[in-house]
Amino acid sequence: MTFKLETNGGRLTPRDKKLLLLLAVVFIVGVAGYGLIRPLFVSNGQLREQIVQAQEEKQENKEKVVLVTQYRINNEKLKQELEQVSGRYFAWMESQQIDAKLTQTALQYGLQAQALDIQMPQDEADMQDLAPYVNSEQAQQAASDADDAQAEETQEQTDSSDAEEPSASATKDVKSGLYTAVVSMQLQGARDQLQSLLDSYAAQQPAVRVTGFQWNTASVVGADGALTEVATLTLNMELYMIKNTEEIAE
Amino acid sequence: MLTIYLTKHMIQAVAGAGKTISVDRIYQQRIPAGLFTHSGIADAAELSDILQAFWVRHQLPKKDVMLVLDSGQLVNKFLTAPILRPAAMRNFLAPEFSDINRSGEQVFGYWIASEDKKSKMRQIMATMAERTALTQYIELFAGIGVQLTEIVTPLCSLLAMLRAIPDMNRQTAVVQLWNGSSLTNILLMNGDYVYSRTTQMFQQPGTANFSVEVARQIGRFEQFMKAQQLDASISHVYLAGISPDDLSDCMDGIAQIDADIAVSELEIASLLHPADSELPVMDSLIPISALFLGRDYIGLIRQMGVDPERVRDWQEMGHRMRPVAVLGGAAVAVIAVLGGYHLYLSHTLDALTTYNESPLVVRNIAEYDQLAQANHSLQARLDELNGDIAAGESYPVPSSTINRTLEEARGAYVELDVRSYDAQTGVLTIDATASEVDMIHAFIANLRTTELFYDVTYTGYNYDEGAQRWSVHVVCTLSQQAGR
Repeated sequence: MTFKLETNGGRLTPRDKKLLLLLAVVFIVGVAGYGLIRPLFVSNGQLREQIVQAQEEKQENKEKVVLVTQYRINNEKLKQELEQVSGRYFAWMESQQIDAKLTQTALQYGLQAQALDIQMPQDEADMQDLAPYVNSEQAQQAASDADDAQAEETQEQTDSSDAEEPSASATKDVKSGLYTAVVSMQLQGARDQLQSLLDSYAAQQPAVRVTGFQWNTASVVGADGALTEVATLTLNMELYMIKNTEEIAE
Repeated sequence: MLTIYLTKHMIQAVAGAGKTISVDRIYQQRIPAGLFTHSGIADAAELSDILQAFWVRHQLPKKDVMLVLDSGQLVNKFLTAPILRPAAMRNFLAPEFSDINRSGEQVFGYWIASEDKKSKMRQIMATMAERTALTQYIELFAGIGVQLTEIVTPLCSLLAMLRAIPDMNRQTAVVQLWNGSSLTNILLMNGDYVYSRTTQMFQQPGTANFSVEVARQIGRFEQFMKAQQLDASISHVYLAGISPDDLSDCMDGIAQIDADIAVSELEIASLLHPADSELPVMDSLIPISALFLGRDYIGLIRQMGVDPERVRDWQEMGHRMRPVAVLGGAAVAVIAVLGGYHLYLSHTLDALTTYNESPLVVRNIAEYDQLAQANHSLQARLDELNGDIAAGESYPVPSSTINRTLEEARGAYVELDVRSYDAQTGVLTIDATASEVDMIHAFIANLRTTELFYDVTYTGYNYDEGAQRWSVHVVCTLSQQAGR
C-alpha cells in the first residue's frame, strides 16, 4: 500500500489532512511511545529492582562492617572458652601412653595390674555425643523432647506431605574433637587401695567416666602358707581425649 | 548583487554587495516616454529590448537581481503591526489596505523599521501590489534571462538606508531626494519615519523656479506638522541628487522659508566601502539604498509564494493538529520525566555500587564472613563439649561416698558388700545379709530414705542354713546425685 500526498497546487486535500494527522499520531505513538517511553519505562523498572537489591546489599554490608569488630572479640572469647573447656579433658594419647598412665597409677597405689584392655577410637567417626544417664533429669527431658519432636514431625507430615524433611542431622555434623578410649582393667590388691584408686578415677570427671566395676575376693595362700583374702577389681572406664583445638577448628 | 531602479523615465543599475555595502559599478540610461501607463507596462516588447540591450552593453549579472520599482502599482503604508510569521502577516495586512481599490489578488511585503519584543509589536513599511502586476515584471525580466530575487519600492529602500545613517537618529528632519523627474520628501521625527510625499517637478533643474519648488516642499511639511499637531519642528533638511549648481539656490530658498532650519547635502559616502569611491553615488541613491534592505525586508516575490488558501489550509490543519500537539507535548514531558528519573536512578545505583564494591567494604565483608563461619564452628564445638560435660555429670559418681552412706543405712544387724556397678543401667549390686529377719524391712526403709538411689527394688529374703543369716533380695539403682 502506498501513500501519496496530493499537492493540489500547494493546497491540502481532506485526504492529505487525515493522512498527516494519522502520520503524526503514528509518529508520536511509534517513535515516542514504543521507541523511547517503553524502553525507558522498562529500563527504569530494571534499575529500580537493581537499586532495591543494591540497597539491601548495602544495608547488609553496613551491618557486617559494624559487626566485624564484635565478631573479632567474640572469636577471641570463644577460643579462650574452648581452650578452657578442652583443658578439662585429656590431650590425645596413643594406647601405649594410656597403658603407661594407668599402669603407673596402679603401681603407685601398690596394686597389681593383672589385665588391661584398651579400645582406641578408630577414626573421627568415633567422636560421640555422650548420652546422659538413663535415670537422670536430662535423659527424661531428652525423652520428652524426642516425643514432642516426633509428634510435631508427624503433624507436619500430615499437614504437608511434600514438605522438605528437616535436616535433623545438621547439628550432628559438628565435630566436638572429643575421642573416647574404652578401657577395662583388672587390678588386684588391698581393698582399701583399690577403693582409693576407684575414687581417684571417679573424681577425674569429665576426663574419665567409670562405666562399671566388679569386686571379687579370693583366698590366696601366702608365702607363710596362711590363707589371705585378696580383692580383685575389674574397672571399666571411658577416657575422653581431645585433639588439638586449632586442628579441629579448621 | 545587482539592484535595478526602474522608473517611467530611466533605468539605473548598481552592482555591489549588500553585506559590506559596497558599490562597484553604476550605470544609467533614459527610457523613452510612452512605455508605461499608470496601470503598468504599455509596451512590454520595446521595454524588453531596451533592457536586453542595457544588460548586454554593461555585461550585467543575471542572478541575484533586485528590482526597485517606482510605480503607482505598488502602494506603501507605514503601520504598527504585531510580530507574526511572514505567512501570517497577510491576514493582518489585507484589512489595512482595504481602502485601496484593487480587484485582483493582492500580495503584501514589508520592511521592518523597528521592533519591540516586550510588547510584541513592530513598525513596518508595508507594500501592497497585485499579483498580476508583479508577475508582469517578473516575466519581463525573465524574458531577457534575468531572475528577479525581489521587488521593492524606493521608499522602503530609502528608509533602510536612512536608518543606517547615524546623523539621522533622534533628529526631526526632512530628506529631499531628486531622481531626475520627481522629488521624494521624507519626514523623520526623532529619527523615526512619519510621512513622505513624492512630487512630480514641472520645473527643470538649473532654473530659478526649481529651487523655489524644492524649498516650497519644506513649507508644506511645516504646515502638515501643524495640522497633525506634531510637537516638533524641522531642524534639518538633507538634500540629495541635486546638482551643485542648484544646491546653493535650494539652501537659500529653504532659509527664506525658515531661517532656523539647517540645510546640508545628504552624506552617505562614509557608509560605503570604500568610502572614497569616485562613482557618482549621489545620483544613484535609490538603487544604492536597496543594498541596505537586508533581512528586515520581507519582499513581495517571497510573499507571492504565500497562497492565502494554502495558509488557511495549514492554519486549519494546525487547529486540527492541536490535540496531536498536546499528545506530542505530553509524550515529550513523559520522556523528559522518565529520562530525568532514569538519570536519577542510574546515579543512585552507581553510588550504591561504589559503596558495595569499595575495597574497604569488600575486605571487611570477607573478614566478617570468615569470622562468622569460624565463630559458628567454635560455638558449635563448645556447645558439643559442654553438652558432653553435662551428660557426663548426669551419671552417678561411684566413689566410696556411696559406701559410707550404705554403712550408715545398714544398721547393726545387716552386713553388706558392694559387688558391682553398671553405669548404663545405674544398678549397684549389693550382697546384703541380716542376722535378724525382723530388721530387714528397716534396712530397706533406710535405703529408701537416703537420696542415694533412684530405685530400690526389694523382693524378699531367704535363710542360708550354712551362714545362719538371711540373704536379702534387693536391687538398687543409683540416683543422679549419688556419690557427689
